[in-house]
Amino acid sequence: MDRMHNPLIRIEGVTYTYPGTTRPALRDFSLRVEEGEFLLVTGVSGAGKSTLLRLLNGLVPHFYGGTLSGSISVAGRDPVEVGPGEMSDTVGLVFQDPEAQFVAEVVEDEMAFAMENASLPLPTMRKRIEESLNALGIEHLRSRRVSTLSGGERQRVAIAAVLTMQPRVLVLDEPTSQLDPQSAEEVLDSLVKLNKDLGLTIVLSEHRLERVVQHADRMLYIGQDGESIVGEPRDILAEIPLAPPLAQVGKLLGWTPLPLSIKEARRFATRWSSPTPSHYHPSPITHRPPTICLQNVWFGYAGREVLHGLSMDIYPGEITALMGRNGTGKTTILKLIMGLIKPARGQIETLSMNTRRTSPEAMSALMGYVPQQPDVLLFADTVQAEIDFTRRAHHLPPNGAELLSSLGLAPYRQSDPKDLSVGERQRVALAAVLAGNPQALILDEPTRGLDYIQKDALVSILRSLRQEGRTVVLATHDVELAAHLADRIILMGDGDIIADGPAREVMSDSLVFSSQVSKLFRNPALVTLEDVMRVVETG
Amino acid sequence: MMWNSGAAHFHVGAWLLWLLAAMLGALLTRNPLYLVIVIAAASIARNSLTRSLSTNGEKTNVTNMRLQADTASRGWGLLMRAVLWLLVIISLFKVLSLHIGTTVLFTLPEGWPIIGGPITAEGFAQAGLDALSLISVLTVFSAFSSGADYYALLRSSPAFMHQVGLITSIAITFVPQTVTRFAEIREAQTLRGHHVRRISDLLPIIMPLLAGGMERSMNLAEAMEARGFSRTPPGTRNLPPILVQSGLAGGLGLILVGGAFLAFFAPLPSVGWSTVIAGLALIVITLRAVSVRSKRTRYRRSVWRDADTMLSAPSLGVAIIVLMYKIVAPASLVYDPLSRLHIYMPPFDPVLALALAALAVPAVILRGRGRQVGRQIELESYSR
Repeated sequence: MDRMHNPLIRIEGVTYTYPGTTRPALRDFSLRVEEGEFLLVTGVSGAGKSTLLRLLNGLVPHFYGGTLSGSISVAGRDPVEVGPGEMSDTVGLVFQDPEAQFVAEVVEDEMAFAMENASLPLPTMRKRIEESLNALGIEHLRSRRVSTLSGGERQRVAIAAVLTMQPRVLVLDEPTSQLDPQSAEEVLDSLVKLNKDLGLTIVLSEHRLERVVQHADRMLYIGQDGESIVGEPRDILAEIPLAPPLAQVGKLLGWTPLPLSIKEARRFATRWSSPTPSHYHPSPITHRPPTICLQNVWFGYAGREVLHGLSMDIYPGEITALMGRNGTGKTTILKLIMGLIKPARGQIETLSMNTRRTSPEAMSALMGYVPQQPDVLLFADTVQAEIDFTRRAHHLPPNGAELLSSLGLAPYRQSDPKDLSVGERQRVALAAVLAGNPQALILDEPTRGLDYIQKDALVSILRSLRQEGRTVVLATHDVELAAHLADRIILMGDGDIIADGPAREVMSDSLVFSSQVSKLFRNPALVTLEDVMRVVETG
Repeated sequence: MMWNSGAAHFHVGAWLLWLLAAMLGALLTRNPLYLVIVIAAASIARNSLTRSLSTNGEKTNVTNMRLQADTASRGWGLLMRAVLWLLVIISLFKVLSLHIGTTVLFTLPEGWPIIGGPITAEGFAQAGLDALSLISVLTVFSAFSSGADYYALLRSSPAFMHQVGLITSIAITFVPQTVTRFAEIREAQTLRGHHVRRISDLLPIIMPLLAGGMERSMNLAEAMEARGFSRTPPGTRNLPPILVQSGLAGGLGLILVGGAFLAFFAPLPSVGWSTVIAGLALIVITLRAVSVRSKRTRYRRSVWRDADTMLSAPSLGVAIIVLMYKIVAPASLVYDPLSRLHIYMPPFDPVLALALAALAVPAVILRGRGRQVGRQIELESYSR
């Protein structure tokens, strides 16, 4: 592995500790990245992925403080010595949240920001803005306001904005975790193009491996204990607990080399004697009386129609997933169900309350809502206090020990929610809502920023709620979650229901909103990894 | 795709000229008839600006645009509503506490503090006039900001204001976002069974709001840092920081001393004023000294189009007409029932009224441009 030349990135024996903590975020960490490589960084939440990425341009330790030992060199420069400002010529860093990284209103100005800071002459700026727009294929966005762009467009603008500095390496911190599947695809396609056509070195961290792993040259995995392994994606996937469903199926069925894309897996799948679709007997649907009814509902914002005559019934003891692109009316439906907004025409009954005549306060007695960002709910300084607050609001006696242990939060009872990981905070928010003992639970995009292990934890919690006969409705982009969890999928397209039925049938019949396993087998009996396991067990 | 889409509708210069004309109209007149015209014209301009912004967005991303427009307008809407409520309360108080005028509507018992006494139609007229003139300033400003490109504005500011201006422009974008987030938090907490009854009940709303704001600011600071915001441009010869700090502190000190002098030693205003001016001068000189040494370059892209001429010519005309009236016939601009002690018909001059109505000119220009754009989109979709 030792070569004569220096690699583009060389990290040797780095140990870094954030100020105010004792446990190092990175311990004796070493890494080499060659010019032109596409490196995928993965690991469980809190393993130090973000820290590593920020080390590359000097934000760690310059922005955060803390103690650091070891040596780093990126393109022959030492980020610890020169700092993030100077490193902006060498390392382009793109962040997770497309909302929180823009300084200007107009795309063009946003792109000029870094160059103005570097005091490049005007003609150079013009040329580089033109080139960066072309490289990302977003010439048409040049004079648009940032606030009018979709999430995918924003991320591509953010990438173009750092490309103007002509960096040697592009570093991206979970750039697609906040995006819907299509937008994520747009961003990844752009990155693959930059890597292939321009030979730009890319270091990217990601939770949802299913979309990226096929494009990466190498993969770095950082475990909970800080141990890291790096190598060919196939080899790493075979070893680590976090793997996309496709790789899990490959491992289970002993396919070698391990397939990374549906295309690679297809030839194995055709040889594998799977049950034919006729083996699939849709269980006869025995709904209980619906708990949520929408009848001919019309709704619009500011003169624009969002829903036109929508009707749907949602049943207790089932998990219903609302899916569809951004802006197809999913959030609107959730808000209508909860009575936060009232329909322009039509009727909505939630738990036999007409939302038009019931105040949100009255609805809250029977209904729980978990917003997209758990931080919207959390304010107290211990987990127990969050639970007590909800119990008090519902005039219930303080309790919650059982609830906390069922959510795996018992050890954190006296912890400050702010010190917990994203996944744990999500569960605290869930606990805070469940403490009111709601009959119906509404979740908006519950898996943002969760890794596979945290997602599994969420799945088992929601399943047990279903077991208790409660109504669960979630809006999600996460097809793997929906495949795993939902009994029923309602697919929305521009305010209309375009597909509605048992999850298996909707999945096996959709091109985009379909799990990896479902794409592979195109068989309603095989939608999740669990299905494949069941077939293997029964022979 | 050469059309100017949404970003900046007009050149900064032309747009500032419109602001000048509209502000003169709103501030120099104290006549309900003229103020209503200014409010109407500015509202028309504002509506056409926001509409043309959203139709441009529609071309590529209808649904997202819809959400964005919704959240943003909800944010501004909430803010405006709060301001209007405040105005209503202030005006009511004013009506009840002004006991001047001859047209008595009814009388409150004299024993009541402040509000006791005759309530007059003149008081109503005065309070309404005050509210109207505040509303007109607000409408003009909201029209201006819906068409303003703060970043372009910032670039045309002098160099020493750049850093400060940048921070301000970012802060401005934080306002509607914070309002939106406030609504989000309130909704979520309400559904959790939370009611606000006491001040301490605000904690579950304020804490997440503050935490969220802090997190956003940290993320943004990090993103700016990663793009070299705090780096020193090459060729910069920095002044010793102690010099800059003492210059600024000294200037502020002089202003404070001068202000105190003006407040407490009224007989000698010239001493107070000259101290204040000296302080201001010291600050400007210090900032200039800093900025001359700064070699930061700026990206300029503003183009002066026909539309900008079409906007600035009438704006200039309106400004001149209003100023002329102010100089030649100031009485016609003012309606003052309070000092005349009776209600009368406000003066009305059709020329001035027409001039003020011309403040709606951005709507006319945008409508014409909208047709062009529409055609262009059609052509494009044909060529695909």
